[in-house]
Amino acid sequence: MEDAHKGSPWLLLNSEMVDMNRNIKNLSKDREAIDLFLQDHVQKQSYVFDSIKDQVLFMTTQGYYESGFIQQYREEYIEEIFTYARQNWKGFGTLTAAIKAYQDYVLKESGTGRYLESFPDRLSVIALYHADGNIQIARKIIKSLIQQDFIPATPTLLNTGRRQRGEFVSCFLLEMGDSLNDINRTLDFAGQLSKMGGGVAINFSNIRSRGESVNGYDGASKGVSPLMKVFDVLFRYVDQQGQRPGAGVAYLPVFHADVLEFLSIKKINTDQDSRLTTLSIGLIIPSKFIELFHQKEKMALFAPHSIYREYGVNFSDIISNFDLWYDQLVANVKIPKKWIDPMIIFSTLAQTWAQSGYPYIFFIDNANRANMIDGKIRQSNLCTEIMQVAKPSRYGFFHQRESDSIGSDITCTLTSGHIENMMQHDSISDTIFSSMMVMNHVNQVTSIDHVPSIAKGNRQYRSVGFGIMGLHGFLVAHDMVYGSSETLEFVDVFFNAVNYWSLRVSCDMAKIHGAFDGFDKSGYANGMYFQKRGEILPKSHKVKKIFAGISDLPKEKDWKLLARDVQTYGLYNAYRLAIAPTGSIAYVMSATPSVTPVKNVVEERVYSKSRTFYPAPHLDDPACANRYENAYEIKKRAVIDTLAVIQKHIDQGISFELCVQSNDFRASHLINTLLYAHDKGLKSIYYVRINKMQLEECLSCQI
Amino acid sequence: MDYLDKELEDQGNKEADLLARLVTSKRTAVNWNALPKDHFLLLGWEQLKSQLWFAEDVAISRDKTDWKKLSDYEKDCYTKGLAVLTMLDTYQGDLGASTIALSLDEEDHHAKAILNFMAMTENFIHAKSYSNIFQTLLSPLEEEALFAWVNQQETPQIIMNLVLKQYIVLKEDLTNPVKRWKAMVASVYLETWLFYSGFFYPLFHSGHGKLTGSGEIIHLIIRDEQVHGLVIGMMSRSIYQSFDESLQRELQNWAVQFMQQLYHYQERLIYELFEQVGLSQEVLLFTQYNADKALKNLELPIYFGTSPDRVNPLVMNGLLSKSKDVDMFSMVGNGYMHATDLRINDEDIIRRGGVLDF
Repeated sequence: MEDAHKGSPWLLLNSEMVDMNRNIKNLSKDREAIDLFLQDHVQKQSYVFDSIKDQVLFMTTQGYYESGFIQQYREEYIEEIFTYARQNWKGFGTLTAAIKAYQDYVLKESGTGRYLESFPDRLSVIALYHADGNIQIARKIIKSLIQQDFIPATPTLLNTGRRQRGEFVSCFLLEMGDSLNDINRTLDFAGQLSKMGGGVAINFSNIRSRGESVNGYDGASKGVSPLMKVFDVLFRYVDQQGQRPGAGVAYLPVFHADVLEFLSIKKINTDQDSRLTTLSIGLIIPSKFIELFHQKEKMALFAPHSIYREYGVNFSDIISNFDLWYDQLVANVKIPKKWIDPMIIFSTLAQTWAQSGYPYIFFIDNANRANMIDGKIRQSNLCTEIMQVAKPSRYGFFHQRESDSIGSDITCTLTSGHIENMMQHDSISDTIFSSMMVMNHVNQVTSIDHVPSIAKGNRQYRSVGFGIMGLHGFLVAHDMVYGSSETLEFVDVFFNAVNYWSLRVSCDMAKIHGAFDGFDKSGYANGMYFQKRGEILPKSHKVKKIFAGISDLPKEKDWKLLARDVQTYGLYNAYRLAIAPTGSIAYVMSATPSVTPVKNVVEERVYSKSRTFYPAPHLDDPACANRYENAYEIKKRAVIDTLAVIQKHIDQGISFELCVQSNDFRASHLINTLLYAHDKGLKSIYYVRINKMQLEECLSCQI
Repeated sequence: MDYLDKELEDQGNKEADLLARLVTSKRTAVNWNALPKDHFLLLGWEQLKSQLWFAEDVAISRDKTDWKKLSDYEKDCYTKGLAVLTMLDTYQGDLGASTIALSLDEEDHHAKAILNFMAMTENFIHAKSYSNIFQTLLSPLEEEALFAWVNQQETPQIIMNLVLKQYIVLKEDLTNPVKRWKAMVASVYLETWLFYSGFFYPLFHSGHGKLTGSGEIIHLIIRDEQVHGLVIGMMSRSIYQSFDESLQRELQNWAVQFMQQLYHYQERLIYELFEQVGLSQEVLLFTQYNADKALKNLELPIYFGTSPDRVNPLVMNGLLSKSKDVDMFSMVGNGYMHATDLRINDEDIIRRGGVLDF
């Protein structure tokens, strides 16, 4: 027998979980790997403290923790929360979760890299910090966190309690005007946000197209592409202290004259200068585009500056009201237009999707139709789930900056609930309460003053985004599939409850702290929102059984009371829900991502610091293992139908990656899927992902 | 035809006959549509085209921080392994695949096209990508020393020449089917076996999440070599099947001896490179496993019988070429392709009221 293999013992065990075809060979190897990792590595690498008191003292005096939040509590309360967390923590579900938790989130000693916290300690800090001195709330939050009912998004999970830290939010959207001052200021802000590790979305709608005049010189404008290059370079240069590269997305309407050039920018074989590497692209699609396509009519592309000169209106305002404007613009002979066949857009989309997975798609009219807040939604964000109203700013010269008109831009703090745990623990309302306490506190303490439009938007709207992860795992455990009537019924009931409780918590908060600025002009204030809301209870035998132990499904009378209370007291938050892709945090929770199907039943996770195999939950049960179909295999229609029901209850959006088998990849399929998603009321499509078949699957039939 | 008469006078009848035959022979244009839809050459063409990549698509610069943390021994092992691969790639492109292409029957246009493409892949793409890695991680002086090492170090030179001998021998006698088959064996040994020993160390590192940029390049190269080994192996079988039994037995013995010869020096090279990082035994097992894979591609009996379970699982699982689930923000991933069926016919569009069946 030869010697044992070289390499990290836990990574070796994790590799032994799968065979060469990435099928599960031995799931228990992953469990062994977790234990080995925690004993062999974490324990040995952990700083040893004599007591919780000593630990907290050390952390504050050595400058690792802020001391403010600690001082808000009596010493025995700190003891209580830390002890509760450690004693009730049930452990990690996968090695990937454990490695991520310790490598990416837990505080380490500078220089040695020794762990100064355990993961339950990290959760204790989050509970204490965001309960803002209120021990009752801290107890609720820690209970939810420890039983893994929810988890805050990465910037909150990572930074809470640290003295040297980044912001608790990392999601930003900026409106950009067309003057050089507007552009330069936006570059400034984008750089500052990128420095914080933020993902920044920039709305390019207003940027004048190639060939338009600049300062009266016809043909001088270079259009959107060269400006996108500038942002791309900016994001690559300004990263988060070398830890995380910057990331941004440029959104452009499909009716913008530069749209074809914009779409080509992600093609693999364009020259190095045109090809973007860090900036993503998102296409804004008003419903008018779909209409013109179905009517087999040509579409007009417009030049933003010419419209501004004629009407004094920004193109981003036009696009968010496009049904009203299109015919008028077409009829106005003073507005120059380029006519193209919408099919060209679809062909180009298919090509760029095949070559790069971009652009994202934003169905702006679907978003605005559902929007209850006064104003218009103009773009989405880097992960396509944030959809909020914004007001563009107008910036002047540096020496006249007092007369800048600061609009409101968007930032969003996020958390995600684990649907399986929420159901198992009958904790829908408690989870939402804890999550919103954390997110509201994040908003309160976050003031990005050096980007004033963001600070203004945050103060005014106090938007948060509670999402969900683990839906696919839950469906598999209950022998349900995407798109079936049972599943549609289940998500309808569940998300109606989520929506209800998010409103309830926000209303209760408004009773104490007042409503968000602009509530009176909202569809919540005039009751419009509640006209279509009411109880949604399980009907079929199966779904009734699933909800048998659940105590907080809102009844008709609950909704009526809520509607009255909201109209009386208002809502604390303008926006409450958004389903993010969940990325890292889903791994920490060993959950399937977001509400979408897994991409692979066993994923190979290669990210910046490690490589592990990550099994979907419930594979230890062979019946469940057989039920898993991955996102490439599942009919897109089934996923869209499910998301469409969920979307009814979500005031913002849902990140939806469109996953296609490579041998199934046909432009017409993608187009039809886009059309279907639009008609079902989805607000966005995220990446398009292609699954290349294994070589031997096609060639080996020959052998 | 005055010049031809002059030629005839000068060079004698035999050559004149050959020349006369050549300039008046009937030539055939290739028709790719003539291949049946599931022909392995067509499948190979599809696969190779769809996975075409260039080193510039991968951001290697992120490896710099990991590189700094390696010991001198680890760096030495890593770069020397890649330098050997560069040399193997160079000659597989310059001479190997292209000589086999030349030696095939004149009308075997499809196979020649594929072999020429493979040849291009080796020296135009793979070898270039190693140079990109060297440029990123090494100083010019280090790079110079590295190439000086591989260009004169005995063991890799012997291995290279053992392989090249089959190509040179074939080049001198292109129509000889036995020599053609032996050259294919050499090719498959190179593509499926010898290359893979060089892949062990980068895969070992990327299995630990280190040097993932170079690791991604290795994955892209592996993806190509898998196709090369399979396709050339397939080509070799029809030739082998045309030989009578006694010749087959003779050639089988030859193939084993050739493998033993190569393995002797391969083992030596492995000790030269890997003793300093304590991985010699692991790499030997991996090498044996791949040698058997090469034999399988050639439809010959396996030799070592090393079970995949005995090989380091981190590295074994790095061989998987499924589209990696990548973090979109840090890696390109190998799931994207250049062109597919992008035609949109109006009748394929589902109009309002229709049912999406996708």
